[in-house]
Amino acid sequence: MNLSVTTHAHHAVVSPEGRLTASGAPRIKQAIKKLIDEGHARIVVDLAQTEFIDSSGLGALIGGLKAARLAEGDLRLAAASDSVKSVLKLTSLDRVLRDYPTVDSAFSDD
Amino acid sequence: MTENPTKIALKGTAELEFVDEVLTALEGLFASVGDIAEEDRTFFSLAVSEIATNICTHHNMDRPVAVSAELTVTATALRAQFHDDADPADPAVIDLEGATLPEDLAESGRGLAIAKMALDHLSHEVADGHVWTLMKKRRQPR
Repeated sequence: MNLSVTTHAHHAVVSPEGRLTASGAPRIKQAIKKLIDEGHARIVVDLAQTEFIDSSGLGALIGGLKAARLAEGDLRLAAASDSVKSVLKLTSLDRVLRDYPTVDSAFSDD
Repeated sequence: MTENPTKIALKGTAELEFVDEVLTALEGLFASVGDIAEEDRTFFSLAVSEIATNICTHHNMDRPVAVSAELTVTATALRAQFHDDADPADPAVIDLEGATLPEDLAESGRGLAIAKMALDHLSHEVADGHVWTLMKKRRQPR
């Protein structure tokens, strides 16, 4: 998994590329923690290039969501593929990890 | 004429790199066979990832654990079998029957429950190590 992070005026974007599984989960957790420590608690995880996710990847996103909310921010998903969406639905985590069509729309409502 | 392979076997050490190797091999197998529904590919890959990760992260052996995987596609099903040489009592308890999804905000503990939900058959036996058998019936093309 490759990971890129960009920061913007009102949110930060974390983009995992490839498979988000146990081997990559610690890196995304660490990247999210670093963003929050630096004051970026509104985080979009751009899943456009994430071809696969399993429970380790989901756990890292849940950890990031909790940390962002503790810092009075939020963590939202964007551009999930049908495959990733089907895993979110199977696990009922689509109720807590909200997916938006694009990165720009993730925080456009507030 | 060489037929597309419908079976792949891998051997390695029970470390996370092995999970990635298995997922890459599975992708190659799916590409080689060609006509497998996306949902079948996704859910079977998910279950394979969960079980392989469980094998590679839940042993407490002070020696390397050898693990082998056999991935098979037939006309009606996707199958995988994993065999490791960890001691029968390590991990001490694998509660497949009782595996359920934890509360929504839990950060771990979903693996076995997800694998069960994604498959039509999942079993674990202790026999000279551990043997995991996974099967997902293929959706019929519409």
